[in-house]
Amino acid sequence: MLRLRLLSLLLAGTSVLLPGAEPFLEVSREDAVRAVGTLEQNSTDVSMWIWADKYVYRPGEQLTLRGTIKPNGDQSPYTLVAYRTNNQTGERSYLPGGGADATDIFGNTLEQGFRIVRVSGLEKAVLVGDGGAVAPAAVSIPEEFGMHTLTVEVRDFTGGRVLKAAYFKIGVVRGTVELTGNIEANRTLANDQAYIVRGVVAVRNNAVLTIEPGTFLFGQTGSQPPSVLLITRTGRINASGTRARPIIMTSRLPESPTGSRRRGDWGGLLMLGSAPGNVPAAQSFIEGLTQSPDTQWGGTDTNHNCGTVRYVRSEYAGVQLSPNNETNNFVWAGCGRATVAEYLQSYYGNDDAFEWFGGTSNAKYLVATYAEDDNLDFQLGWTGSVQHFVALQNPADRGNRGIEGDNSEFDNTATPWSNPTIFNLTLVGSGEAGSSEPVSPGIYLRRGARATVNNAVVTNWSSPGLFIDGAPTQAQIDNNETKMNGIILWGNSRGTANAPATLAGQVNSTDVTFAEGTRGQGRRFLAMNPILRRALEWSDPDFRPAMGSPVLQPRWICPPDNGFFDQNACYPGAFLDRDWTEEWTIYHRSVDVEAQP
Amino acid sequence: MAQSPRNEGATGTVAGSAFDAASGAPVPLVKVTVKENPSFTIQTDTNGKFAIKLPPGTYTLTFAGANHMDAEVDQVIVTAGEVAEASTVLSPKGAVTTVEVVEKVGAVQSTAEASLAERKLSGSVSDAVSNEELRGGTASNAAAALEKVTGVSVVDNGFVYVRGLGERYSATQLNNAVIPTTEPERRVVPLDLFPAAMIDSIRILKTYSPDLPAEFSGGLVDMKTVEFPNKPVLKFSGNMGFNGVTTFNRFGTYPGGGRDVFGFDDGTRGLPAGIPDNRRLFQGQFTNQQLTDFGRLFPVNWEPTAVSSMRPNQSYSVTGGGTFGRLGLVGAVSFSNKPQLYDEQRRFYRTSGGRPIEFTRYDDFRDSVEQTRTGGVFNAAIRLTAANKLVFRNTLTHDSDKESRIIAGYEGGIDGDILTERLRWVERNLRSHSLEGEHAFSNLKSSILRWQFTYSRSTRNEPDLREVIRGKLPDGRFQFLQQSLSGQRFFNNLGDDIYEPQVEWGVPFYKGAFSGLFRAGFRATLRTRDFQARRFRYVPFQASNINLFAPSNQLFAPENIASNRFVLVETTRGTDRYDASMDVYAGFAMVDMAIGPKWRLVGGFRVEDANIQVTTIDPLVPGTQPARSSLVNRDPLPALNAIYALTRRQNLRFAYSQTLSRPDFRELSPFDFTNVVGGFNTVGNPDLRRTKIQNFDARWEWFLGGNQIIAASYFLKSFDDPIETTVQAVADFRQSFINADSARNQGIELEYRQNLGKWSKKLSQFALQSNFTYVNSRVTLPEEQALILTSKSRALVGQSPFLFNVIAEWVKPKWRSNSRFYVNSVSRRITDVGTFNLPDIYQERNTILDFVYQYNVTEDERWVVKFSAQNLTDNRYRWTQADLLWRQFQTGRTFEVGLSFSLFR
Repeated sequence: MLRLRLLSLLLAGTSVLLPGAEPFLEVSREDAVRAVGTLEQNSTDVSMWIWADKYVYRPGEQLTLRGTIKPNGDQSPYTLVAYRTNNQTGERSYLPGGGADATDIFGNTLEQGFRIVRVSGLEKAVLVGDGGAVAPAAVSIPEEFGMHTLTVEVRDFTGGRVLKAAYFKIGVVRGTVELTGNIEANRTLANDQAYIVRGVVAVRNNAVLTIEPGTFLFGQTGSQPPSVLLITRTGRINASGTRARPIIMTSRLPESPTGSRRRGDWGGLLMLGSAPGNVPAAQSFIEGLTQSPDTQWGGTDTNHNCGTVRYVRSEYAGVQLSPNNETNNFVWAGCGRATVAEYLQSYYGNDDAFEWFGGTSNAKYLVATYAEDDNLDFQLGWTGSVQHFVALQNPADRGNRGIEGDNSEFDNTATPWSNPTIFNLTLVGSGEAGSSEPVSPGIYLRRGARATVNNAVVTNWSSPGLFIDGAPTQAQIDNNETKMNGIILWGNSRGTANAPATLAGQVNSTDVTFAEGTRGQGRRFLAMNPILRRALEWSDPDFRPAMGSPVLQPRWICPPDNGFFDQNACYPGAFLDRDWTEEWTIYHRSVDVEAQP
Repeated sequence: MAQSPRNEGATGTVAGSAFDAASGAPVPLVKVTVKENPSFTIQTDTNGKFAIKLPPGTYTLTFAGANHMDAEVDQVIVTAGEVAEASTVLSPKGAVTTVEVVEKVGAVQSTAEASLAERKLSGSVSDAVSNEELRGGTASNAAAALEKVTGVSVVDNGFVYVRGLGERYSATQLNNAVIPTTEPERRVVPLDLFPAAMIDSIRILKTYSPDLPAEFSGGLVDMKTVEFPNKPVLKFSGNMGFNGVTTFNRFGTYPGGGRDVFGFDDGTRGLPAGIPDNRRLFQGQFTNQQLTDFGRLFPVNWEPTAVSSMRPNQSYSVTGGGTFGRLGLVGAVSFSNKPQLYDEQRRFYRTSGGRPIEFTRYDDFRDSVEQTRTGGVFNAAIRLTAANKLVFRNTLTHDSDKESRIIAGYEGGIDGDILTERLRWVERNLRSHSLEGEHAFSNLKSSILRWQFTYSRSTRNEPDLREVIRGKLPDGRFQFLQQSLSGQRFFNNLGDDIYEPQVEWGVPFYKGAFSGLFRAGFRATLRTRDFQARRFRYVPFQASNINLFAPSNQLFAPENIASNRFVLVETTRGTDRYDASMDVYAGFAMVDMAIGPKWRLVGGFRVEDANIQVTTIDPLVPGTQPARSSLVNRDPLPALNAIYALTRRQNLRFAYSQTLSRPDFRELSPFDFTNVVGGFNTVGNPDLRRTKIQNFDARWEWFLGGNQIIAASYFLKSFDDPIETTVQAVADFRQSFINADSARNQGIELEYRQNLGKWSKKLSQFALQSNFTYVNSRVTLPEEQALILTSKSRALVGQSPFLFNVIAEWVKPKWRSNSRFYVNSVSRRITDVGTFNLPDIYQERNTILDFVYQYNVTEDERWVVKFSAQNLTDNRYRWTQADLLWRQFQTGRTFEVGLSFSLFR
């Protein structure tokens, strides 16, 4: 056996083994010795982010639009256009005048000619509103209920071609409605109201909670137990937003100013189902809440439907009650295959961004930004699939790990095993040591976890990009249960002393024995600059590959044709040329929109 | 002082008691006459006690009671200024013919013997520790003294397990009143609160009789504070010692308040005055500036410091009292300060492939605890007439733990090496005041009315627990970690009050072959508790602005508390405050009756109405609805004890009773709470029911005379719905409580105490005491628990199958010395239940060897020197899980020298 393998390696000729007791993976000699550098910015396009003073308004209130524009050294002449779109009707009103005909931000029509400006950098400037440097006119909110989008465009000097657009979603509401206690019958939350989630709001008794597109929910801060939207095993959620009208679950109160919110303000969205986990009990209780029939999950129904969440942003959620006992922005516990989760953003989550406890539910098009802990966390027997997942951390707010996967903390060999299938990942770390766990790798499998991870870009993590922790987890590679194919590692191990400046330093090579063929599959591992456009422009990042990126090479595998995966995503990372996070997401770092104290 | 000691030279005192031979009850209103000089005569009081002053000489006393045969006690030697004891046992007149001449009881001289006599006559199975045994041993507090009693084990510094049954099944009474606990997570009082100098005797009742509270199963620890001496007493004692592990080692502490050394926080650790007490601190409620200001209000004091100087143990006490005409006064004050270093290793395990794997490894776990304890007792009694007596008793204890803890090691939850520093202060206070009256009515068939009103309050204050957790980076530096316990300041306090009025009426009866005592009584135990905690944490917002490697006092310096650096966040939970009450109204009727010369029956009924209410409310959110749970029960409880006198010196006893165990306040509260002691996250269960217990006992005892005894017992306890700790399936372990299906405990106890002079004259200076207990216990768990818990059927938690004690004593009167060796051994027991295929955690066998040497410097015992050596083998306290080390430490050997001086002889 051993001789056979050696022979095959000799025949292969170009292959070398990475250091370690056993081969980790096969890579070409060229790939193995290539020096690893750091992640850099590769686009010189203008970047921009904008925000209004708050999220929801009543008709007649005044609005101020602020923004930061960074030309990134580009001194081209621009024109600036700002408008508000009523996403119910699609009608645009150009700011500051409010007319339906296009004007630039100074009020010039196309006939008059847009004013050409050279922006040398505007930081936290008032773009439109009272006392503003650019357009000092106040903007009054019309009596048009529902979600509106504020858009600022940087156009070329002709005013015809949009070079860059930034978005901010606001709501116009009649008033606020408080949600407390249980929801026991079908209920619809309409987008002409703002909702305050106060305490544990449990959907149960076969009720369906429908949330209209463009609805804002505010998790009240300071309540104990924390304010959460809890979808119990006997309830369902139908929160189906759209790109133009996402559903935004945030914290505090409708009138709280932008920039005042903090991680951990409220509890988050918890979805519980009857699909199995590997806790050796018929049911288990979700962490972070009081035990009751409402907080139980687990069972035998692998098809359980927790409901649909689509184009939903959850912000500032997650309350740590005690070590390992916390809520997160999005939690699926025991949710089954009929559950739908796509186009979701977790923004400033305390603890994890997205967490799965057991279950079989799938998700795609997920954005994890600035989680305090991990970006994708799974444990207790999760067997779902994920495609198109991007995680971004920043050094000011820190975080821990890209993926943290456990089989079970209690019993590393508990069954059913945690064994998700993940395609198309982009994991961008902060480059700093973890805030609550010093070991902060990109992909971290431990406690017996199994996983299939294919087509990933893992970069800028303080610890190695891939970390397999401990013998029980290593065994899953050796016995061919954990498989990886198409992993680009670059600029990781930033805080790891004496890490080799090659592919070997990008993985924790002492523990990992990961070989093609007889000992598991680890294929197409590459230490190569992914050449992302601008992954570290935190408040306005662009994760798409730039020219010359290995992502664009035709060497990667394609996702399977099983009805869930987008089979055409035959590239590492969550993006190719389309930025599916545009418009409905928010990347603003706190420091970049910091409200005055 | 009313009497000067010099005047006493002229006379001595004879004091004693009269007991009913059948029931063992003290007999009041018995006429005691000095045969040689009938002008000296007196009646026994409501407790059957008497005292007569007499000129020196040898006397014979005659006892004459209305319903009893006359009795005589001869050879009573009265010496000037001393108290001779002369107690006797009186046969009821109804018992007639077969009773031979009443035994002439010699003067009972030692309190140990009196204790045994009390046991012999007791209506229920009991064991006792007398004051003499307390003083003679190494025990510095009540808990330590009890370790040497048959079938008793003491867990975690002061929680008593009787016959291996956990604290849930033990109850404590102080001077016949229920006392509140100082521990929020526990239901019984830690007995190490009570300094030995304050305690007169401790009795462990192992079988139930209807006059006792129904929450009884393993046993009732009945403590009495110092009793009224018959002669003036004023005794000073001091002890100084060192511990092999602590005294010459680096000991951890931290800057505290000026009165720390006496056990009182001077306010240094209090919640700063500027922190609002009715609103939770969070952004939105308060502005960033306000929160910054709040964060800077707390003193910056996070770092443990080390003392390298010698830290001796010390303890001092003064006991004084006397009888002044009709007034008896006694008081005791004690103080001790004892540092102890615990140098531990700990491991935690998880499973993989059915085998344990190491999860957390703390090789360096240093806990330095400086414990102080202050106690005071003041009791006063006044005898209004021979038939009417009032007693006023006051007990106060106060203790503190000042703790500085450093842990270094690998933590599996964080997946890395960590370093934590924790500073802690716990202050407990317990006081109890009672007024008791006893009235004998000779015109009402010599019936006796006793009443007692007790108010007790305990408090526990744990202000400003501080902890910082750091994680090791690959470059070796330790960085502050943003963890839920890191950077926290935790405040909590508990208050427990009990009002307890009780009244009891007893009437003796004598009808042919039946004689005895009928008793009926009423007791209300009205208990309330309030508990409140506040938790705060410094959370780093924008960690990049802070040097997370700085020492803690720099890390939390005022300039680092700002809206873009460390922000003070309140993490007080909605469950951190609860109020609870338990009202128990109980009535009983029982009879203690001799049937002929051989049989004695003690039996009756008790009815208890209990109403428990627990209200958990978030005080920081106005308008929140409180969560309530309640448990209301009425229970009729029969009990019967039968005693058969095999011979004059041998008894056979049989007992049956039904008793209860009610869930504790905490266990009923529907919300989470973190066990302050162990850090375990624990949640109550509002659906808990009370446990019903059936108790069977059989015992044979042979009193060999003096303080010698041979006894053997068998017991069986059958539990219906026993409350057991369980673990819930959550992402992390969470402890809760359930009613298990059933449990059964059975066991045997053997006791042997004898002077070895019986075997050989040469050994007459040696005495041996030993006792041995074997308990077999089985809990049957509900089906669904079997999935999580590893053992489907196991012993009760805390249960050791084997316990034994051996005490060897060598008294050498010529040298005025007395030496004792103590061996105390407790076999392995489960301390934590194993879950998820991990085996149960056992504490391994502990065998402790102590030695005490006492030397009377002066013939009259005014000056006594005592030398003690504790833990001579330096026992290794060790816990294992699947034969793997789970926790271990050694407390080292302690050597102490004590000196005591009595002002009066």
